[in-house]
Amino acid sequence: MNKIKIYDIIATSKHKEGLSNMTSFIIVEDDKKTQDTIKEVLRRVVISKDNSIDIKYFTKYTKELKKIIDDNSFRKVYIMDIELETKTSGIEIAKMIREKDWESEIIFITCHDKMFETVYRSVYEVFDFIEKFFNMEKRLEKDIELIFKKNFDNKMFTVSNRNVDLQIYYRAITYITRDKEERKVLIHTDTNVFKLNMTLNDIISLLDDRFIQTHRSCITNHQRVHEWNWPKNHFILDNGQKIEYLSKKYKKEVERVCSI
Amino acid sequence: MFNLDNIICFFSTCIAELVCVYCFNILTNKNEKTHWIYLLCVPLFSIVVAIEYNYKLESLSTITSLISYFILYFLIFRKNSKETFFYGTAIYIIALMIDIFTMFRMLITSKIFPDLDVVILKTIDTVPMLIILILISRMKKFNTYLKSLFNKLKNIKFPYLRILLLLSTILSLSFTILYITLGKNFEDFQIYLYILTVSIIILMIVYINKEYNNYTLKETNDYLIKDNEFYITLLDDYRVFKHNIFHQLNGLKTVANKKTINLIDDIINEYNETSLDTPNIKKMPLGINRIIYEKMYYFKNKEIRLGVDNNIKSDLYNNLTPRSYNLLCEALGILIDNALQATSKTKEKILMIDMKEDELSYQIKIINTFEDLLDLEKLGTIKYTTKNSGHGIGLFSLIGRRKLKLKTSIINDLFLNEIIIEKHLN
Repeated sequence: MNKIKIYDIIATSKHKEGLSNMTSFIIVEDDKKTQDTIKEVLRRVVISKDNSIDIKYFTKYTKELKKIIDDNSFRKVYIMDIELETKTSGIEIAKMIREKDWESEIIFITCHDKMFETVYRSVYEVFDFIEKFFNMEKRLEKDIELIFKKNFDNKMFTVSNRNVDLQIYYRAITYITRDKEERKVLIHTDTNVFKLNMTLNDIISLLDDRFIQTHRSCITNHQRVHEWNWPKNHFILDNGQKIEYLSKKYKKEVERVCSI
Repeated sequence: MFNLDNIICFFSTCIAELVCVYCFNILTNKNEKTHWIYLLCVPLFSIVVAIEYNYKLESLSTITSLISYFILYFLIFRKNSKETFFYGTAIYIIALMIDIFTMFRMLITSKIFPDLDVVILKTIDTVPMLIILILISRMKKFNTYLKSLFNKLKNIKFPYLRILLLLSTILSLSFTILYITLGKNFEDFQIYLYILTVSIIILMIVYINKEYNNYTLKETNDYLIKDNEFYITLLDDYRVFKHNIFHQLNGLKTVANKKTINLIDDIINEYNETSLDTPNIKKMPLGINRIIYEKMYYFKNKEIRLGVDNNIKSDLYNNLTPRSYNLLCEALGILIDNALQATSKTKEKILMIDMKEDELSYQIKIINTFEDLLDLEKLGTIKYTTKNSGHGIGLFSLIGRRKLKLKTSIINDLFLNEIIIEKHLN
């Protein structure tokens, strides 16, 4: 039953632990004027739609903020100023958040230079960098709407072995295939392929509902499929990749799941 | 072959070893993982001691039991060598002191009961000694004193620690000699003197050898650091020179015709493309900046976006031993090289180096984007590489190095390596 242990791999699927649906907005901004602007945007965009949403304001890094960062039981959107007038900058706070939590969203309010923006955006998975003095209200409003629209889809697939810890967003996984030569699975993302000591049966129990079997050697993230081509036994992903792992045997199930 | 004396000797050694392990546990263990299964070694060691005793090799049996204590501490508690040595020696010295004290009492008892066998007499006397040892170990004040002494000692610089190690060994052996000569003949004393001399010579050789290695390493590192400073000055001069040349060329453009203007623009663009601009090179710790700059230089045409976040304020070079410093440079060289190779093949081409410190260690994270096929089981094993064949030793050679911890993780399309290296506190 528990083959995963044999391979010395511990896997967790966070979606099964059930992250609370409660959402908190954490604002870290020491400039009163900017904080008021953020308050106004949140009142208009968030509270008007759902007044159960919790909003907390901070002017610097405090013990209470640390507690919130450490608590992974609910969803959070951090809106932070990079240049805080204290020892701990917004970037430092973002680093602390990403030590444990890759599911919360981070938006930076900044005057920071563009060079760093690209690096930090990728490295700390920052949702957006908004310039303080250039269209800030509109941009923030748009970002918050986008976050709600994608419904906090930041759940992660996590596996660890003695050498390395792997964490990938479920949404980033396009499909998973069985390795033909070794008893391993290949997890495909847009840019990478990860080879794991597992079977397809092991891995399917760790995935969420977006993954369906499309071939006896393939599990596919149906949300990433742009087109199903049953006559030619292939499907096309939203990144344009053509995958020839589609079997008619699974047609009914695929159509049922996709229609939901 | 074996008589009652040997059996008594066996049991008393067993009890003494168990009591010492118990005391070590009280003094050091803070609900940490222990391997009690190794208590099974106690009878084995005791048999060896009893055999030695049987063949009248009493001097050897004392040494055997001393070594067996340390082996037991190490196997059961798995503490680092400093802690094991410190608490092990402390217990041994206290036990010897109690023993010497009880010995006087034993001499008096043997005078009163001259017919009583010496072994039985010694065994009877071992019991109160062990009880006193347990009581002392359980004393809160003593416990606190030992802990504070250990904390002071563990921060002592390594050469001084070696002198201390030498002194405590001499002290332990002197106590042993005193213990033996109180009731034994001169031959035993000679054997001990011989062992003591050999031990001191071996320790001195090890000490001189290590000091010499450290000295040469420090000399080389000092030279490299000076070299580094010189190159940073040179780099500054180059920047000023480049800046001035560009200004003069731009000045020439005002009096030049169209063809010449285009030519000047081409020259400026060419120089801009082939020169490397590394952020905050002066703000990075000395030595590390050279590694980053040197490695980046070979990838200057690859448009790699480098981010460096340096939160190391202390003098890294002085806070590490020469050996640790070299190890850190080696690790950084390998990891930055790997990161640059990997990120240069990606679309985003991002390399981030994040440096920070706490009271005990330095932590350096190297984060890069990558696009590849990775076998997670083989990653970090010998010869596994995503580069051309002939590579793959780098990451493997860093795993399991003493004083350096390496944590590897992959988060989406980011590859993260974190080096944690212990500070050498004064």
